[in-house]
Amino acid sequence: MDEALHDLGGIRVDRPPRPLGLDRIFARAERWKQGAPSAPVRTPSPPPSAVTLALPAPLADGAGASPLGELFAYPDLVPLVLGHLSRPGELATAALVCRDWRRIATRKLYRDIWVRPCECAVEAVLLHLFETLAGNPELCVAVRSLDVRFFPLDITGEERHALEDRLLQAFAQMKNLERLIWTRDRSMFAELFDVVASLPKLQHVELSGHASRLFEPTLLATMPQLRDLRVYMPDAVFRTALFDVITLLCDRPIGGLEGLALICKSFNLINDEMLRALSPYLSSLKRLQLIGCTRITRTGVYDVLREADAIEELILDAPPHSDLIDLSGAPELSSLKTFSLSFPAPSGRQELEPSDMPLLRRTDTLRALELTLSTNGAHTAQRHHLLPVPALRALTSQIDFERLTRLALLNLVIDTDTLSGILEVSPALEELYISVPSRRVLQQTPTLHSAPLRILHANAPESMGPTRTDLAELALVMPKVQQIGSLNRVYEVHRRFDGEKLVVELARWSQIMIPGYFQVWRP
Amino acid sequence: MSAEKKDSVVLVTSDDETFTVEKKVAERSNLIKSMIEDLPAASDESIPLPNVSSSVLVKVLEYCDHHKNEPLPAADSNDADDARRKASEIGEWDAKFIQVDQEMLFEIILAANYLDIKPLLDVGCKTVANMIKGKTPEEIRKLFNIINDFTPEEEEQIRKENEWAEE
Repeated sequence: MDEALHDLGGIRVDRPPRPLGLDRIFARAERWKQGAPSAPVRTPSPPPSAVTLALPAPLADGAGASPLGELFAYPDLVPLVLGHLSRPGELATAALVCRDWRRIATRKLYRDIWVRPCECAVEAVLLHLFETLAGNPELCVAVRSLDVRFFPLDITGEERHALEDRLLQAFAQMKNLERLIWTRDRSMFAELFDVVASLPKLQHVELSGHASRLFEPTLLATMPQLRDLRVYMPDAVFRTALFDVITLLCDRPIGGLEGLALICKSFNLINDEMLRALSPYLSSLKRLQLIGCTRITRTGVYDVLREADAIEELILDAPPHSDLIDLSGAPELSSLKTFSLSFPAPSGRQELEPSDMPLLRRTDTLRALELTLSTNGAHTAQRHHLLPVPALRALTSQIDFERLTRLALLNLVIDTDTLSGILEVSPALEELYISVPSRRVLQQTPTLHSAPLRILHANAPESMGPTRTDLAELALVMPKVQQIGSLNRVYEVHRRFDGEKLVVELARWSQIMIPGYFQVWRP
Repeated sequence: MSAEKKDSVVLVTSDDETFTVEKKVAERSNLIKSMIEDLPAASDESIPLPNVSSSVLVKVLEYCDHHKNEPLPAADSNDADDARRKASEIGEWDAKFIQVDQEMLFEIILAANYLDIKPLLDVGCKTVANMIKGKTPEEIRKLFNIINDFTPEEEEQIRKENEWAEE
């Protein structure tokens, strides 16, 4: 044996040593430094305009105290002024002015808290926030809404334990919490979920459905005030618990759920049989969202709608086998206000025909219609199809466009005729989200310019779409538009008089609410 | 003329000026609206406004006249309505209207509060809030002549408490 091992040591591999390739890396770096860039150089975007705020005339003497300071001697007016501060930084500053301001600003600052991944220094925000909350029970009591969509999963060991301890301490004190959004996958853990489920006023829960080995979802059934449940990517454990949760919630004095959203990705464990079994327990439902549940068809959805006859918001996707593209035979939807459907593009054609369009049972109550053409697994480029006037008529013949205040037609590319047709039949529209082949459609549709829209969002290929300048020109002629955008850019529209001249400017998004487009957009 | 047909109302300011105002305009004020409702039918009685001077009432009526055809805010408006109203920008006409000297803006806000004209009170308070934005606590105190009643330790504690909001 020893000899054999000794022989193995004598084996020689005559393959030349593999070069590390450092020479090529350096050569590439050198070319990059000296040569032309590999991607086209775009002119950098102009710096975003600062928001021009409406202000009174400046003081005549420049630096003196404002007579408006006397307002703060009226205790009932102080909250009215500070009520218009909304950004956390503004409220934190106001809390440092004096004791009276601190009381009012702190209450507002902690009433509605959010931590979103897009914020700057999000990890530091989260850590500091829970350090403060854990050490100040009186601040926890002020929290009504907590929207946390980020969690530092990379934190481990002692640091993670310390964070979890602070979370437990803080949540245990949030006796007035009504709304919780805690959606980061693997951010929930068993002890925290025990505390969350025991909160007495929690009505709205939105969380990751990855429960396996993390938390016990059946505890949702014990929540006394739970009315809205939104679950992202439920796993098999969550799915198994869901039936018990929904049925047991129905036994409460306040009744069952009013809102249920199951947002999945190719999830096959929720099916028609489950919906049928659940339907008797969903009679209080006002909002239903079922996305990415591959085993659900029209039959299961109808079972729920027959029981939930006061449904106000229905959000579905309609893969081909589901038959959900034809809801003309649905139970009466006499309270339906919002209908949102993602449906597949026809294959082999670029232009939609009337028969491709969804069918909906007529209802006089509909105010918001959101249609998105889905990829159906095809290449993304095939997602966009033309929506000509005849296909639009297939919609307008069955839906009362005159009452619509919000219309989203995403990936359904419309030309000037179709856009004019839409605006002609929908005079009450306040929000319009569309796809166009080029900026010209927006420029050449006069009815768009006089439309009383509050929000306009028009997607187009990057090279053909409206630029910031195009959008600013549109905003100048549209009398009421407040948000305008294209693709992932949304601007606030600011109007002011410079002397007698009306100046309309686009400014970067500065508000705390999510722009309208990102509320209707579907990935 | 019957009460139903009477379409104007007489307002008397603190400095005894008399204004004959279209009822639709005057009724933007909830206070005046309820006073009109309390008047006997077909009364020619004027409505005294002892807390509003004529120069301020002129401005207030200018605002009410411009907005006379807009729907009044619902008495039962909920939190969501309130939040949306507060989040919306001051319209261009309102922004120009509010470009008055700060003494006048102060009087307009007090008058809007007294007369119960919520949209005007909102515009006034929002304008004052705009003056606060972007300033440090010290600058705010100086601007509005507010006394700092915190100890340095308290100030430091509050700063640390709200550090997350400053990120």
